Amino acid sequence: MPDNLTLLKGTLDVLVLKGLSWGPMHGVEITNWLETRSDGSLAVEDSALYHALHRMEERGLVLAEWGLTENNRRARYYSISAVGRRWLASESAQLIKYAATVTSLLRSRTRLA
Amino acid sequence: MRAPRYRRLFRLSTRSDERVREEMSEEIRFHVETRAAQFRSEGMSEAEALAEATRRFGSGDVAQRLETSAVRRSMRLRNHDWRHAIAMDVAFALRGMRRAPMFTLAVLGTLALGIGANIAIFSVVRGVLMTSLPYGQPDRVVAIWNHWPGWPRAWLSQPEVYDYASDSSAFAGVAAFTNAALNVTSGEGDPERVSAGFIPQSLLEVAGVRPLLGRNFSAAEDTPNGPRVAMLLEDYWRRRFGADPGIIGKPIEMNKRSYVVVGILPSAFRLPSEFSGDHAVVFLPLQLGAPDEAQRASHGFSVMARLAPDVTIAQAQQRLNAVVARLKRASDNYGPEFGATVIPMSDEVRGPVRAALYLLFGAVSFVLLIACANVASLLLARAESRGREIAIRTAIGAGRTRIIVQFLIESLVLAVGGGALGLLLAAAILRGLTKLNLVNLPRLDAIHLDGGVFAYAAAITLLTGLAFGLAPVARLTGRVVPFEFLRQGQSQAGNRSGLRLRQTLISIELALAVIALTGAALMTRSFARLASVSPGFASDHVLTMWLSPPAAKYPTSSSVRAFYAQLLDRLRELPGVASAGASSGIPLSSTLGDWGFSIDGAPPRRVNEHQPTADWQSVTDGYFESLRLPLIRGRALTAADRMDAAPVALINETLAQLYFRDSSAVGRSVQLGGPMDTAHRTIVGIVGDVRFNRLDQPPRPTMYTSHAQSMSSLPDSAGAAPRTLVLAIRTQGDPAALVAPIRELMKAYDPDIPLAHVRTMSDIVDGSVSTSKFAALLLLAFGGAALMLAALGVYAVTSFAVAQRSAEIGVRVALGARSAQVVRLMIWQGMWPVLIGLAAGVVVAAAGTRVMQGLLYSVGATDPISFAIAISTLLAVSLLANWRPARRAAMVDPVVALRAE
Repeated sequence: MPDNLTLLKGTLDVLVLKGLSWGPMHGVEITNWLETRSDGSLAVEDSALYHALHRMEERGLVLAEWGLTENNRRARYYSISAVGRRWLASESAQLIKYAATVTSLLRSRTRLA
Repeated sequence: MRAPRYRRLFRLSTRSDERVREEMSEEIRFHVETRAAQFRSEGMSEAEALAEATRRFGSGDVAQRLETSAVRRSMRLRNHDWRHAIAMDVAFALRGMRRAPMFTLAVLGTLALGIGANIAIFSVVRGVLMTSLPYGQPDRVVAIWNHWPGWPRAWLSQPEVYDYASDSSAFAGVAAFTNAALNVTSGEGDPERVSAGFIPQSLLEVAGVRPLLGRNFSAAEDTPNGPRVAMLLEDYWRRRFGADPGIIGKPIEMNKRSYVVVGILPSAFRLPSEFSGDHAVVFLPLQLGAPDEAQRASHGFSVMARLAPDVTIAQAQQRLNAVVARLKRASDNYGPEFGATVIPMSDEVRGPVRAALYLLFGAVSFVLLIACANVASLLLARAESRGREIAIRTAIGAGRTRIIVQFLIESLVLAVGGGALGLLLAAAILRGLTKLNLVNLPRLDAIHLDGGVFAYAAAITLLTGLAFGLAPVARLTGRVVPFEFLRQGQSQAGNRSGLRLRQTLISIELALAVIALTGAALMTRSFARLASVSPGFASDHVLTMWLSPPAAKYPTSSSVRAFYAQLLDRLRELPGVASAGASSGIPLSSTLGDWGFSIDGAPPRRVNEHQPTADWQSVTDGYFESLRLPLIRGRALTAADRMDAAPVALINETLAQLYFRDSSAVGRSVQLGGPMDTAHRTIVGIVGDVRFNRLDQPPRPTMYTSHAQSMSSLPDSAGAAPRTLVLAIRTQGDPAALVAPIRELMKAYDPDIPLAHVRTMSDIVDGSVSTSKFAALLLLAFGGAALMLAALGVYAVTSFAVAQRSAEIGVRVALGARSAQVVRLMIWQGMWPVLIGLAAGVVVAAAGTRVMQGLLYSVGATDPISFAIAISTLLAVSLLANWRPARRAAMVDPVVALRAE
């Protein structure tokens, strides 16, 4: 099992929104997407995902609706809202900048460069 | 899936919580099963896959916690749903109302009275003043009157109708009309005397009205001596003829003659003079005939006209003035002050009552304002005691907007409750008004609770709720510091501004009450003066009724005279009859035509001097005795004044003073003008004045001629003696008891002649002042309501002040203040807003009551006695209202008061 990177607080929301930005998904699809794209290194407890989704639904960042899967099973589909898109854009820019800054600092060979 | 709207608004929390839990649990199950299926497809066994999926999902009671969080989330979402919030506020308000039943009752009762009275008067105003007249394009319909000095609205004569119509650039159509009464004998029921209108063919077009059945009169029918035809009003046709559709073309019998019905008119149609009281239900052709110069001096027609398209009233008036100028040049019938006026039909019908109705509406609005002020004051007091509750709410996070909204909703709930009750009250008031027929308002038939009234009721309820709801809110937008409130019940600083606000409300209430009471006092004094005017005759124990022998049966003048002479003889033989007479008119319920007359032996009239005119009444002997008209000089009429005796006349004092100033009138000879009755009559007596037209108008010069000698200069066969007379019968006992015997006598005398308008003279006199009485009564009622509400307000505020200052009073008493001093202190505190309000109110009233001047009789708009009555009543009542709480203040036990601090 590859190392599980523990998510920093708040990043789960951004990642989920990014995943939803291409279209609505239900909970399992989101989990699968996260695991696949991170090659399994992001360890997300499934229930944490649902807590995050609830939070975001309350803040109006995602919308939820019951729908049917390909197997005709009832599932709750989450989609990103307009507010969510705006929030995703600003937060991901910040996160990327943060990560780049930290990366650059941690990669410096000497104290000054 | 979102629950349906009603569920979201009204559902109880437990049901939705279950649902949310179920859904969450379903979602979790789906997740775990799908993951397990994925693991199985990767090669795990079923049991392993399920175990792995469950482990991945989370350990422990994760599912449980998720479900709870889902429930809490949905609750939070619900709380943000404003519709739910409002529903909760309404429920809270209703609970609060139930918990304080006396308070709620007081508020609802006050509001119901204020709003209900307001809605009722508004309905009356709307029906009487705003509903359009039953004519096509009613704003284009006008009335035309002549005016002479002393006669601002006078009838037209036949040639004048044609003259005024001749200028077609002013009027699209001009129609003259008169009315009369007819005996209808066919149809269901006994012979009946009904009002009838004589209308030309053009009138329906001028009025913009079309027959419902049949047709209008044709030109051939509208010519003199044309065929006898008639039109009926629809409701009369239903009532009398059973709505028989075959009536068109069938004859009916009226005045013993046969008339063919040609058309049925809509029930709402009225001649312009008949919007209040009796109205014509049968219409006959006017048959005006070609313009006849000989009739220029006899004026008897009313006229309605329709303005030409795109012509304003002012323009029509100018063109009419040009026509009048031409007439004055062409004939000496017209003095220089003669003229004709065009009046919009709406003003003609509604003008007289407009001022009174607006006055009533203003008064009732004042009452509503005072009621609002009282309720606001009550709510303010309650808001004080809810300081703790508000503090707690603020502390747990309710925004100020939320709290303000909640207070407004509570006020609106109260207002809606009061408004609903008020609507019921208004319905009852209106039903009573129209059923009791207390007052002769035009268009009473148009008053009902319709959409417009409901809209007004809703609007005024809303405004009322906002008006008094803003008062506690205004208090709140001050500093609501939770900590202070939570520490102990109330804070002193907060209460002081609350008291100020309530005292301001009291001042406003008192100002309004002064205005309302002053108006009431003025109106009442005016009515009292009017009612005490002596009409000039004795109205007790007199029975009156109208009748008319039909020309078909009594064609000659002598037969008419004999008819009445014999009838009166028989009536006098009835037990209980003291005297009986007949006349062509009865005071305060009919109008007399006036005639010019000339005095034999007087110097010839100078140019431009007016011919003497007098109201003319044809009477039989016994008339003066029945009404107890005082005889000033000479003698009254006797049975000896018949055709074969010398023609005589009597005049009243006004005429004697006007035209016989320097000589005795008795013995002089006069001749009535006009072509019909040219006998020279000797004046044999002078009788006292009678206020004939209205009690508030001075008596007019009047001449009485003997009916037995009427029309002596015309051939008997013309049957021109006055035919329609009113009997005046003085009874020894109760007049009403003689009605049945008189009807029996009439039936025996001539069964085809019905008696109409059987009324006692005292009823007639009361009826003539009914509008004034009604207005005075209503204003008194409103003034009384205003007084009571203001007194309650003063009482409540002073009680509040006493309670608030109980600690301070305790200190004063402990330091030695005597109870009298305490009482004086509290009374002064209670009275100074009253005094300010009274002063302000008097100033406004003095300026404002001027609008009432037109309605007042013999009382000035700034009559100091009325003002004094209003002010002193309010002062006394306010003092009384202050006294009780002040006395309670004096009985405060200093120990208790200080301990409670």
